[in-house]
Formats: sequence, structure tokens, C-alpha cells
Amino acid sequence: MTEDKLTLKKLLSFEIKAVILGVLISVAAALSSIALMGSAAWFLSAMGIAGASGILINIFIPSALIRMFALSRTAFRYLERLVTHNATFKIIAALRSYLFERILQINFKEALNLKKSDCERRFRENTMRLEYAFLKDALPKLLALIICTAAIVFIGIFDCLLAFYLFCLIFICAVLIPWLFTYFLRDKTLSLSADLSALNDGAVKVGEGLTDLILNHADKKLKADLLMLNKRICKVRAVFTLVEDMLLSITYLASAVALILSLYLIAPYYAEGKVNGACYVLLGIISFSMFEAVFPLALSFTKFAEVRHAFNEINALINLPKNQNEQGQEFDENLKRITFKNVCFSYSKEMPLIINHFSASFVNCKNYALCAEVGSGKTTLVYLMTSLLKDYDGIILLNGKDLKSFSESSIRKCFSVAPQSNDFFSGTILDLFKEVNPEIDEKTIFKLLDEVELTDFVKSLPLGLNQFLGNNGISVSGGQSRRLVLARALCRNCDFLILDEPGEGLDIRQGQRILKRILCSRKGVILISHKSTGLNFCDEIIRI
Amino acid sequence: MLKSYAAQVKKELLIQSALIALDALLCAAFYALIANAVGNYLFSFDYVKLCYLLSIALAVVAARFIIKTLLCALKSKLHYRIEEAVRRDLIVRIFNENPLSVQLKSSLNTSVINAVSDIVPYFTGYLLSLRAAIIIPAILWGAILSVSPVSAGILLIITPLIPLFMIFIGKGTQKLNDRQWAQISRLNQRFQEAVSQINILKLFNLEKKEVKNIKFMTRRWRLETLNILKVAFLSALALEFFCTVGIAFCAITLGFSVYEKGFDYRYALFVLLCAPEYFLPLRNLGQSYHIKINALAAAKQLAYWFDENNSLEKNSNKPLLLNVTQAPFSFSLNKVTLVYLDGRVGVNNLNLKIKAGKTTALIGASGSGKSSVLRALCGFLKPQDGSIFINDVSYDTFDTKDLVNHIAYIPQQPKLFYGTLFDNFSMGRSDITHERVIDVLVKLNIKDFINNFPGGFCYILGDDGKRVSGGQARIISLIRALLTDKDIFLFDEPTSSLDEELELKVLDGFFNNFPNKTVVIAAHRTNLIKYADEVIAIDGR
Repeated sequence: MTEDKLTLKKLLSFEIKAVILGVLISVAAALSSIALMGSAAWFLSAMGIAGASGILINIFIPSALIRMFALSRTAFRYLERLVTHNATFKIIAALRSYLFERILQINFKEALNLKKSDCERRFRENTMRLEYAFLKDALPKLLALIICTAAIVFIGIFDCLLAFYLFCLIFICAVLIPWLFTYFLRDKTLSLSADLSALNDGAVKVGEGLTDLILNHADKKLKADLLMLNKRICKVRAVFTLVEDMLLSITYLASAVALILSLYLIAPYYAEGKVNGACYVLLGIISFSMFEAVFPLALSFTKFAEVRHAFNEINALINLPKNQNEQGQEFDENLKRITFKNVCFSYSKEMPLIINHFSASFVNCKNYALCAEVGSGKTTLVYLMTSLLKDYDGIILLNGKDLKSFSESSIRKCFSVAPQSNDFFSGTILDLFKEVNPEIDEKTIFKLLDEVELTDFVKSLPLGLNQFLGNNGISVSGGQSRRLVLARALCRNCDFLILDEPGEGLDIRQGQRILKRILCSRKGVILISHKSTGLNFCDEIIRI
Repeated sequence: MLKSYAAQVKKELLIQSALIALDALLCAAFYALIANAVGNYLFSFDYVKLCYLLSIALAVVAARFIIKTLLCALKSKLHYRIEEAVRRDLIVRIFNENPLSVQLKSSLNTSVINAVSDIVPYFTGYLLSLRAAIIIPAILWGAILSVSPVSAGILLIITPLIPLFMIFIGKGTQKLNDRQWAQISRLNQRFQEAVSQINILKLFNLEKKEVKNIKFMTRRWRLETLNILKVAFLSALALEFFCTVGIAFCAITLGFSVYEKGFDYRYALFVLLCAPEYFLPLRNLGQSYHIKINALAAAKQLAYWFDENNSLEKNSNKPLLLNVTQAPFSFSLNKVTLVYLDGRVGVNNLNLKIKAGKTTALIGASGSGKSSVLRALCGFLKPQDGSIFINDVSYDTFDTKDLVNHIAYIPQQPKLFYGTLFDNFSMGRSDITHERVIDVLVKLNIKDFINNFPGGFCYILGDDGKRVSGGQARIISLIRALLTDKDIFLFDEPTSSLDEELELKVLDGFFNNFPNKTVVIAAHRTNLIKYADEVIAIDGR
């Protein structure tokens, strides 16, 4: 299986036109900047010499040039910002689509691991780092390369030795010293991210379990640990700050040395009359100004290590085993019966069988309750039924035919699931239902809201059904989001309705009422719970 | 909040300012030397003098480099001090917080790292740019004034225009109200949400639709953000415009005065060299303005933790529990009203007596206040009215924080931590061994408890203890508590799940093998009454 590798080149190639435009305009801006200073110095020197020797020269063209460069620099800088940010945002869009499509293809088993807190957070952070890889890392480097090459070549026309010295200076402060720093600090970079993770975990522990920590005398040790982690993190960060600033100072030093060298080395040419006075000064100014393009490299120094790390992490994640893309035939009948025959499943070879020779039958004219303790595989059964997990032993029959012979999407059409977690996409309440059932109308939505006792809540919102819930909207309590998720599952009329721990987070009596309503008005409901709420409304109880 | 930390590092900031000023003077000296060298050489062709002046210039550069290095070291030290101090204070404060406080849950983990990280650049970046933008242009302007009053005049006119236009345009951006920012933020977050809800997308066959959705929403986010940025960039444009115009203007007027009025070329070149250096700190300040905004936002996020009024009173001068009374412990609540931090009433005007060394069962419906009583006994919930007594000693007379050293509280949903089973028993203590744990297990009638877990003691519990059942978690919590040799046990609603049989077996073992403890059981099921010496019905309202 070919590996999908995301590299900087590939990232930039997503929007190559925007990238090239951005680079061109940045180059134009940088050149204008150097041209401004250069032409000003040239003009001044020409005036000085002309004035001293009483020569008449055309002053309007040079002064017009200066004005032109001044305006062009301002304009190009503005355009540069606009175009490079546009390019960056386009890259972000392309990157997200790319990553999302890859992630959808990952084998569901592996995707469940991705969901575990650490993986998801790392994925988010690394995506963010990559998103600015163009603007903060690649662009400054490209710019420095182009500008310095142009400047050195220009100077090389006049004096190769000076060009060579300039090349050395640039090489030292833009390539050699940063590389040395990266090399000697690479351990620190790794230890820093490990420490940050540990600090994050510690803070989560405190945030969620301070009571238990205190009751078990573990709080003092945790506090001491976190304080020590803090010291280590701050030390490393201070070192990185120092390195960045030192790079800036070194670049300054190099630029000043470049100026002095230029004035020193070109002086004989002036004395011999090979270059005129204005040109002599011009070359000095160019040697000095070209370092303008090198200064930003110091600031992208720490970014570089992060970006490389981000690429590695993202590549590791998107190259997890993929789903076998078997097509299978369409399942286009009403699902009347699901049969499990001696089904066995485990999440990995090292783990014990979470589903151990399970056999049962479900018909869509009855209501079922699946009871077992947490961790005994109830949710796994849901994943097996809906064909999210496919490498099980045993047989699952849909209407008497093997589940594996059908396409996943057609199987899932037969189920409507209210999962255990309370996640829903941030959006309006109307969106929430329309996503899942585009043809639903407001009357039906309100009927469902009645069923889950959310009508009062929705009526209390200023925009009612059009109120934006979730991130950057109105936040909802655990119980309210549970009921929303239930209602969402209810709005699709499918052959089977699966409710995974529906009463979790709900008041016991409210849970009873809601479950009673749901179970008494529908058939084909599979209730999964470790509690006893609602069991009495089911036709059959299956224990795992 | 930021001001208080600034006061802590006042000395460093002053040294920084002094060094910046020195650097600016040397900068002027450097350009003066260069201008002198070039000017002399252009007209006199005196190579020796050129080399001489250039070598002095080199020395000045070296001196500037040393000063810049000192500034780097100082900035780094400042960075360390501020970041360490702020985060240290935050961590200490967090541990001091009442465990029942709701503030603990809301995005604390991100604040500890990110908010603090956003605050540091205020000191190392913004404040530095601010002072540099005042000191450096002032010194350079003075130098320019001494050679060319005309140029100084030009600069004086242009400089105030810069902040004027920037503020003028900046006001335009501010008109964008919170709603628009929220809108943009939502569009941006769709991707993250999609990634975390893949199972829902698959279950509802929404994959293809979501791919399109992400493309669409990210595109809208891009366009809307660019619209806002265009305005922000205009403000930068104003800054750039005036800076460049300033340089160009100076260059042209200087050129003319050199040509027509015989103004000294060296002075003119000096002014031209200084001009960009004059504007650079102002440009840097413009760019670091957003650092200030971020830092203020971060400080606001942390405001609760750093507010002096919110910290718990220090009970440290009050005596410890064992200094005022001894085991066995009895409790009494005297007309106690308990109110939670969010205003919810726990119990109202409750009178209760719990006998020492005996088992008391508190029964009542869900929400009648049983948990509230238990929390108050631990000292986590302070009575709004009335008083609580332990062995007739009021809770006001000793350090209630010491109570946790003597009370074992097993909540309905105990918090287990990511780690091995053994870690959760020992909680990092070095005196806990496998033998001690097994000893407790035997006494609880569940010698084989560990065998339920593949790998025994090394079985890894997931986040939030998700790989054990509710009943198993409570048993682990009980074992943990028994390993800490406490005299008071509070059970909050045990056996409300399907593990009933197992839990009852454990409770049998507990009561048989760990006598003479003061035990309070809060339950809404009455089958636990058989363990109780006394039963009290609670109806807290």
C-alpha cells in the first residue's frame, strides 16, 4: 500500500498559483525597499559630488525614482500582506480537505484510538502549525534566498571578492548558525513538548479530580511535580528566546560588517575611477540592506523545528491502516431481522475478546434492552451492527443474508443511533435536525422536542429553533445536549433505533419518562444501558 | 494583574531601558563614523583615513553587539522570571481552590499553558517595543537635530501623523462587533468538530456532505477573515506610508540642499542613514500591538484566579484536628443550611447527630441533600447558617482542611486516574505494597478481585477510569481509602448499578473486618439498612 506523505512541497503545491503570486509580490516589496534606500543614497551622493564639482545634472529623474520606490514599497507591502495571507488561508482550506478525506478513510478501529484525548489534541496542534508553515517558515526563507542571491550577483559584477565575503556572511547567519542551534537544541525541543503534555495532563487531573486527589493525599505530590515541570519548561523556553534574539544580534553584526567591508573593498575601485562616487555608496547601502531579508529568518527559527515535527506527527496519523474499500451490494429492503451467531471480536490481538461468542436475534417489531457493565462491549455491538467494525469472527445476518456482502452506507441507512457521547455539530437547532433528515418540518421537530422535554428550553431561546448552539453560541448543559442527541436520533424513521446509554446525565425520573415515551410509541428500539431505567418497557432483555 | 508583575521586574526593565539608550547612542555614533568616512573619502581620496574611521566603526559595532547580547540575556531572564512566576502562582492558587468550585472544570488545562504563554510576550515583546519606540527615536532625533534642523523638523511633523492615522483606521476595525468575530470563529472550528465526530458522520452517512461542508465553510472563513484583515492592513499601510514618505522626503530635501546650498555631505548622509533606524522602532511597535491585545485577553481569562478576593482564607494558623479532639469521632449538625457556590440549596435548617464508632444510614430521595451533608462533613461545603460539630468541637475552631486526612469519602462516581491499577491504589505513595493491597482485599472478601483485570495490578485504567465498571470503581476507591488508615468513612449512594451482589459482599467484609469506624452511608435504597446501627431519613428541604 503506497504511503501518503505530506511534505512542505506537497503542502505548497495545493495552491501553487497563490504561493507563486505571494512570493513574487514579496520579492517586489523587498526589492523596492532596497531600491528606496539605495536610490536615496545614490541620489544624495551624486548631488554631493556634483555640487562639489559644479556639474549640472538632472535632478528630477532620480528624485522621481525615489518617490516611485517609496510608493511602490508601500503599495507592495500592503499587497504582500494581502496576497500572502490569502495564499495561507487557501492552503489551510486545501490542507483541511486533504487531511479530512484521509482521516475518513482510516480504519474505524484506529479512528477510535484517534479520539482518545492525546491523539486528537496533538492532531489539532500540529494541523495549526502546518497551516502557517508557508507564511512563517517557507516564505521568509524563499525571500531571503532570492533577494540575497540577486544582491550578491549584482555586487559580484563589481567585485567578486566582496560578493564572496557577503555570501559567507549570509551563509553564516542564515544557514550555519541556525543549523548549529537546531542541532544542539534538538533534545530540548522534544523534551519541551513532552513536558508541555505532562503539564496539560496534570492540569486536567486537577480540574476534574481535585476532590479525589485531596482525599487520597495525592495533591501535594502533584503540585510539586507540576511546579517542577513549570521550571523546566520555562528554562527551555527562555533558552529558545535567547537563541532567537542572539540570531538577530548576529545578523545585525553581519550587516554592519558587510557595510564596512563593502566600503573598504570598493574604495580602491573608486580611487581608480572604475566606479563613480554615487555607485560606491550605492554598493555599500545594498550590502547593508540585503540583510533586511535575513532578519525574519531568526524569528522563524523555532518555527522550523516545530513544523518538521508537525509533518512527522501528521504523517504518522494519516498513515494509520485504512478501510478496505469493498463495495458490496446495496441493501435496499426493510431491515426486519438482525441475527448474531457466535460473534467474537477484540480490538487487538493483545486484548481479550470484548465480544465473546455472542448470539442473539433482533426483530424490528419488538423493543430490546442490552444490559451489561461498562466496558463489556455494548457499544462495540452497535459498531458491529452498523458495519463500522468489520473484522469479527462469526456471522451477522441481516434479513438472513450476510452483513459483509452489503455496502456500508446502505446498511447504515437502516439504523438511527444516539451514541453515548453528547457531541453534536455547532449550529442552529434547525440545522441539527436537517443535517440528518433534510425533509423534516418544524411541526415534527417540535413534536420530537416535546418527546424529550426540550420544548421549554427551545422556547426560552431568543431565536428559538434558529439559535446557534455550541462553540461560540449558546452553551448547553450535559442533560440538554443528551436530549438533543436523542431527538436527533429520533427524527430519522429507520428500521432500528439504537439508544446508547440514553439516561446518562439525566435525572432518573426524567430519564424514565422520556424512555417510556420513546419505547411505548415505537418498535425496533434497541436500548443499551448499564442501569435499570427503562428496562421494563422493553419486550426482551438481553444480557451480555 | 499585569501591572503587579511589572512591578516585580522593575529593576530589569530599568536596566533594559538604559541599555537601549546606550545602544541608540552607539548607533548614532556608528552612522556618524560611516558618514564621516564616506564623505571624507569621496572628496579627499584619503585611504588611510578611511581605514582608520572604518576600524573605529568596527569597534563601535562590536560594542553594540556586546550590548545587544546583554539585552538578549536580560530579555531571556525576564522571560523566565515572568513565565515561571505567573504559572507558579497559578498552580499554587489552583490547588488552594475549593474542590467543589465550578471554575476548576472550565478549560483550566488550556489556560495553564496557553494563557500564561500569551502573557509573557507582553513583558518581553510589547513593553520592550514601547520603550524602544520612545527612547531610540528620541535619541536619534536629537542627533539629527544637531546636524540638520530642517530634517529634524520634517521628522517632527511626520511622526505624530503615524499614530493618528493608525488609531483612526484602527477604530474602523473595532466596529466589527463580537457577533462577527464569533461567526468567523465558528466557521474556523468546523474542521476540528468534524474530526472529533467522525463516528456520527459515518453512522448518519454524512461523510461526503461533510467534505463539501468543510470546503464551503473554510472558504467563507477565508473570505470573511480577509475582509477584516484588509482593514487591519490599512492601518499598517498608514504606518508604512508615513515612514517611507519620511525617508524619501528627507532624502530629496537633503539632496537638494547638498547640491544647491552646499550643505555638508557628511551630515546629509548621516541623516539619511539614521532615518530608517528612526522609523524602525515605530514600525515594530505597530506590529507588536496585537501582543498587547492577546495578553490582555489572556489576563482576563485568568482574572478569576488572580483576583485577591477569591482566594480561600488561610486557615493555617488554626490547629489540626487531632490537636482538638481524638478518635472515635461523632458528628452533629446544628440548624445547618448548605448552599452550593452556584446558589443551589443543599439542605435547609438541618439537625443531625451521627454517633461515634457506629454506622448511620441517611436515606432519602434523590436530591434530598444526602450528598450535601457528606460534603459538609468533609469540610468541602461550608454551612451558610448553623454549625457543624465533630466530637462537640465546632468546625470553626480548627483547620477544616485537615479533615481529609481523617475522612474517607467514596463518592458515587469516584475519580480514577489514567495509570495502572496499582497506581490508583497507591496514589504515588511509597509505603503501599502489593501485599498490603492483597491484605485489604482478603478482609473485604474479594481476594480474587484483581484477577478480573487482565494483567492484574498492571492493568491500565483509561482516562476517567473508563475501562472499569461503576461498581468496580467504587471498590477500588474503597480499597484506596482503607490503605490510608482512616477512621471515618462516608459512602455516597453505593450499589446503584448492576454490581449489587459484589458490592454487598464487599460491604459485608468491610463491616466485619474493620470495626469501630464512624460510618455514614447515604442511600436511596433501603436494603443497606441492615448494616446501620441507626437510620435517619433526610428531607433537606
